[in-house]
Amino acid sequence: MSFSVQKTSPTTVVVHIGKALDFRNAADFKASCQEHTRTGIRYFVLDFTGTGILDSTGLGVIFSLYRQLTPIGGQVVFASVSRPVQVVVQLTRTYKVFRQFPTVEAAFENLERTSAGRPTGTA
Amino acid sequence: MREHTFHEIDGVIDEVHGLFDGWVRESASAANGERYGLLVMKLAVHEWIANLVQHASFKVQPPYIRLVISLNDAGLHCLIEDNSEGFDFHAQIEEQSRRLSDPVPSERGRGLLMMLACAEDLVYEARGNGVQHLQFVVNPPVDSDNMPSFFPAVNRASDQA
Repeated sequence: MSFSVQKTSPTTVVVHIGKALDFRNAADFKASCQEHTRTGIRYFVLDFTGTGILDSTGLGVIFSLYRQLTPIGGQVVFASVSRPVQVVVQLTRTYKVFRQFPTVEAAFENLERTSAGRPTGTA
Repeated sequence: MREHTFHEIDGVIDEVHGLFDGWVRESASAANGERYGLLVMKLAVHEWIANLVQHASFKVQPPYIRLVISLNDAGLHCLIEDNSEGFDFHAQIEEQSRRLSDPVPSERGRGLLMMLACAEDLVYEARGNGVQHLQFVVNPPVDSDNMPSFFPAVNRASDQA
């Protein structure tokens, strides 16, 4: 498990993905995100600084999180996307679903503005 | 030409990543297209090896996976040879494609589709004596905006755009 989770506000976490999000740690990632969602987290910033691999299983669990959050007004965004992850984003065109920010700070600020503008409770 | 043979299935993914990371560093002065090609190939090879690690049966011991990468006129060429029992490649592609229309899409089972997105001229065949061969060439960078995706949410986003 290379990722770590940092709570930055009552509704937002930054997930530092680390070296890889792939078939080896995707289940742990999913379980951790579900646990945070249960405690009221609605906004996930995925920090891909230095990430060397995002595979189909890793991307699958990110889409699962997206499907879980969208109906309740939540969001998943990408930040500091490394070159290997950018290749995956381009090949799968996931940039059409997940907004990207150059830094974690830029993503967090944008989400803070978004969350201030609308309620984040259950649908 | 770059060639490597792996014998330890447990640690093979980390070994593959380490090899490619080294090759990408070595190609720092190469053209952008070659470095992009290596990253695409790393992803394709990862998906294939992940498939072997998770699903393959290696009844012949010791197991091995041989990886050969070369640059030719067609682009970056990859050969992966192993001594697993193999599987019905086309049936699996059909199964993964069929699952895309499930009401709740599975998180898993897109590895071969990811490979198809990365590669062209992909051929998988048994070569006799229990040896399986996979060969492919990586795609050059393409504008794939109008191609259907294997993540349904992407297609819905495209439809709404």
